[in-house]
Amino acid sequence: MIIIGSGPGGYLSAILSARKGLSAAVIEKAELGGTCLNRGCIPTKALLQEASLYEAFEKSGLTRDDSDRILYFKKTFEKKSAAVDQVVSGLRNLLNRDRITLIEGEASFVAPYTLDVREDGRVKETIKSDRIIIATGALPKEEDNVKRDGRWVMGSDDVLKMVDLPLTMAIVGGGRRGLEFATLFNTFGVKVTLLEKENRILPKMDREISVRYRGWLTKRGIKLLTETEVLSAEALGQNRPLVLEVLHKGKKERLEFERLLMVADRRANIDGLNIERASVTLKEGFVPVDPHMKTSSPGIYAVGDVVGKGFFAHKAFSEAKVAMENILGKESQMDYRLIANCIYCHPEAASIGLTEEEAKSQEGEVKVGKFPFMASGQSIATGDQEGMVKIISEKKYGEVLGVHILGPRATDLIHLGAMAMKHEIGVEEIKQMIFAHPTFSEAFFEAALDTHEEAIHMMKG
Amino acid sequence: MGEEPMATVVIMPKLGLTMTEGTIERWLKQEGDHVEKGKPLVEIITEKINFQYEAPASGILRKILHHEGEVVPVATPIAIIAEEKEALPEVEAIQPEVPIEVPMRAAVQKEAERPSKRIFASPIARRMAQEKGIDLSSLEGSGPGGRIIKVDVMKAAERVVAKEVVPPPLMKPSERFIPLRGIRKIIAKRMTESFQNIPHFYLSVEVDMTACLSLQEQLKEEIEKRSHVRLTLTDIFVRVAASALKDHPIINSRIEGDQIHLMEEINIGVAIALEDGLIVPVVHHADRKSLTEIALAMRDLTQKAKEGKLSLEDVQGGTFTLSNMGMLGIDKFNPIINPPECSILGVGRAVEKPVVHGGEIKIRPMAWLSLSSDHRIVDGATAALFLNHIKKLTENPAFLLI
Repeated sequence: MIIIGSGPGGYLSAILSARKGLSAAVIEKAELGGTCLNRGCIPTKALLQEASLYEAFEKSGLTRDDSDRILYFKKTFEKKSAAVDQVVSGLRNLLNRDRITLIEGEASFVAPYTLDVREDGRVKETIKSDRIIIATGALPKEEDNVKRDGRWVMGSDDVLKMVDLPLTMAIVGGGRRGLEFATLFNTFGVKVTLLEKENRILPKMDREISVRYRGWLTKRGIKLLTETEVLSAEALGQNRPLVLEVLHKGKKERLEFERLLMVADRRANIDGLNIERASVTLKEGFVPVDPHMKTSSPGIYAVGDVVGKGFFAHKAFSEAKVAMENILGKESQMDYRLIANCIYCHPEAASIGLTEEEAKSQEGEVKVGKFPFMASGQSIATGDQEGMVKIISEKKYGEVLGVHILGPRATDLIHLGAMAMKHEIGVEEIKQMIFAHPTFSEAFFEAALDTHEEAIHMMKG
Repeated sequence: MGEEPMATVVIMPKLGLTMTEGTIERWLKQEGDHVEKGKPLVEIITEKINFQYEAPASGILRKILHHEGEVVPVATPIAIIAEEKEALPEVEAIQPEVPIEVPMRAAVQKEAERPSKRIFASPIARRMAQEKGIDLSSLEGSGPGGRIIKVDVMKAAERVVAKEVVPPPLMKPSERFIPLRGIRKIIAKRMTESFQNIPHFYLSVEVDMTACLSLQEQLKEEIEKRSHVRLTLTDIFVRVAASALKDHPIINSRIEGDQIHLMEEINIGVAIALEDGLIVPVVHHADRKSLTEIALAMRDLTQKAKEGKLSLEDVQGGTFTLSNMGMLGIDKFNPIINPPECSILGVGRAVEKPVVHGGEIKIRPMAWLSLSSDHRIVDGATAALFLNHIKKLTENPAFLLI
């Protein structure tokens, strides 16, 4: 097996193939662990955790002045690096344990089943296999009108290397990553403006979560500009503002910031891979695959961010498992319905399955059970009272169609919904469970009870 | 004060050695009806027959525990007979009696064969199946580890709907549907099993019936006078077959797993046509019975068959079957093996034909004998030897005396 890329999709493919007795080689041109470990999930979560701690200190009056803020911000970035180092070395151990060969260098196809690996521009190895998995991830998409320079106009990779704190920042992209960076910098005192081209932030999530988030972000002082597109950005250098020309609800506007962060669109990272020599096609910036994760070229699979369809490590894990099962002769298909969409800001948000709007348009009448964390004992005790749990279920059999959570531990609680959906546990069965008290997961239980107006700790009407 | 009345729990009867379960075909009495000890209470179908089970006590049929169509293991309570106002025992508390007749080995094997009672299905699948009236045990699950999930029930429901929706093509108003139940259902099941599982092959031979007919003629009057029973050609063929089987034990056998079991007893089943189907009562130990004894047994079995009073013992234990269609005017036919037996002999009608005998054309009563055999057990040559032995005995019944 040859696996190109050592991010979650790549390293899981390698571990699974090694465990099935196949010899596996992973080619990596940059850092071991890919986006998730170095520039994505892990560092951003470390940052967000530190940010929320800082926020707690600030609320408690434990911070003195601006110097504390800047000092803590620097410490935060240091701690992030320590977390990254730890997971990367952990991954190195995992690969060693399963005797997976790691080839450092840049892979490029010379023929469908033959790859050159280059280091410093020279071919250091040529390897062949009739089973190849492309797991090279994604990159921020280049915009014609806005050129990234890494300093003033940044992508998500650049921002993680940032050493100073600007006073103002514009973030383009009102999705998960945009929100995470917006809250991070907002916490450390940066005046953040979030620009989104759709008419609401988190356009792919349940409207209620999006609306609640908007209120919460606004309350924190984050400025939201929806239906806004960037027409141009001009960086004038040190101590001079960055000038942004935007189209906001049809009107041209001129805005000034210290920094601009672009996190909106991504594309497949296939630079230098020469996929056309392997007869692998590209569609709308990504490598298209069938439900078995096969590309247009027989024997060549693709998993993770490189195939698009959302950018989550857990999606890559699941795709890698499906690809490996098919390679090993067990037919299996990818089910995207059960990929949880998680936002790790504070409060967290997570959703799985159909949104309320989608459920209503697909199923007609559906049941909606809701419970606000405000009414949960655990939330009151810990002060985490933002948000709610919403369970959307089918009317006749009580099948769970979607779960949407905003609030404490949302990204963990969502798996109650995932398990119910995957294994067809209906609202009735959830109602029969016993949830420990006090816990945040009780809100999930109460939302199930609310499906039939039976919630305990809630006033109705 | 008199003795306190006791409720009687009616259990699924064990009608024969090998019976492990029975299907409740029809309750002849309903809850609340008065029943009388010894009067038919319920119709039960076993592997081989349907049977009217009599009430074990008199009283009111207070509760029916298992309804029509349910398959119930032997000794399971199926109903309670009690006095009108008597308190009923808790059904859960009724311990099914352990049927002592069942040999342990057989019981254990049966248990292993039966699929696990526990059905793995998702809660949504269960609710959907219940609502749509789909039996989960009839479904195969496509979920993890074979668990039945929603989509399996939906597919089954579609099949049911498809079956209901498709009208029978070219149905004329005069056409009727007869439900496949009772004995018809048993025959359908057993014959399908036989024809699908047993590789049949067929041999035929034409025999001269002169000697046989004259033997029947000679003995008929004497036997009738002594034992008040008419000797039939079928009775003679039972004797002939029994005698031949003794010399060809391989034909008197059955497949059990990956072994051929040569049966010790020679028990010959005789196909009897009834109004609603075919039944095969068995003349046990036919090789040890005289012609008179065979004739008596046959008369007895035929009588019981016609009255629907055959016991399970009467139809069990056959090792070979005889089917005589001579009286129905059939010359020759290929019968289907009665499982788990190895062979079946079909007897055609005796008809006068010109045959060449010692260079001369003579008129002789001739009949076709056809043997269907299980090719897993015997080959053509072996079966041919057996069939020729039958021919020899039929044409020279004096050999029966040896």
